[in-house]
Amino acid sequence: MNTLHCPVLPNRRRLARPGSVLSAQPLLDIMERNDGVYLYYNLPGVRLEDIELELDGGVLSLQATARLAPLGGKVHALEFSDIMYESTLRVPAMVDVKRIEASFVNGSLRVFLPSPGKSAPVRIPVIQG
Amino acid sequence: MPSRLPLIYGLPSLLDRLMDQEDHAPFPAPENGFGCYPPLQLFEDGDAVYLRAAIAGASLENVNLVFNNNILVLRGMVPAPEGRQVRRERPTGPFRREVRLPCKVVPGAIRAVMRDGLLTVTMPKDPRAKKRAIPVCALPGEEL
Repeated sequence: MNTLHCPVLPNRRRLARPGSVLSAQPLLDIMERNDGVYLYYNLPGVRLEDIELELDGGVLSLQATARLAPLGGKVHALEFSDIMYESTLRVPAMVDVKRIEASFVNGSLRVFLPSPGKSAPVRIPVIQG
Repeated sequence: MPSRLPLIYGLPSLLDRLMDQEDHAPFPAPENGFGCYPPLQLFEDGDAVYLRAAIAGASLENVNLVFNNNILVLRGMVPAPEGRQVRRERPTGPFRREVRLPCKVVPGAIRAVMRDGLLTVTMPKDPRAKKRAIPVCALPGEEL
């Protein structure tokens, strides 16, 4: 689940084949801030309507497909092509799932996993044993 | 035959070296400090040459295109996310790639569009570079 995987091998050229659809895990950054955890998925070429994000049983599932306009004429270089991105990630139990947010900008999907709000400190009485 | 094995096993690297030579490769070897990012597509039809670059996380303001001497230079910056990193896989920071175009184009007519992390550059061909069919006909009464 969610192992490190690069869908594009940048040092090789003409890897992809026209018309083929690869399946791979998207590149992912996980950043922690004071208000929670932020996930950043790289989904270049994917349209908003082709993104499916679901939380079920504490597992966050992402499926997205990049469908590029077909290449015409003579192809000189093909370092990426149509691709289906798939990822599953177990969400920590402490995340406030009701406030999870997701936004898609510039081919990058950001998912915010908020940490629970700070509760008021509770005084714990200590009694004589 | 054992004597041919080194050639066979060395073929991938040999092909890589051939493609890195300027005369063969549309993308010259990257300069120091820059990897082969972003991945590209380069193709042409009868009217134009097209370049696509997958640059997730960068806006149009983060990307700069320069055309000179039939070479398109793509450079820019993918901003890094803020916070304490738990996991980092996405390429961020500056990038630069050069693309040697397969034919002459009209510099003033180059157009670029950025959408969903995909940069598409359309470069109309110079009319002199366009292929044209040359009709061949035999003159009546003559034989070659």
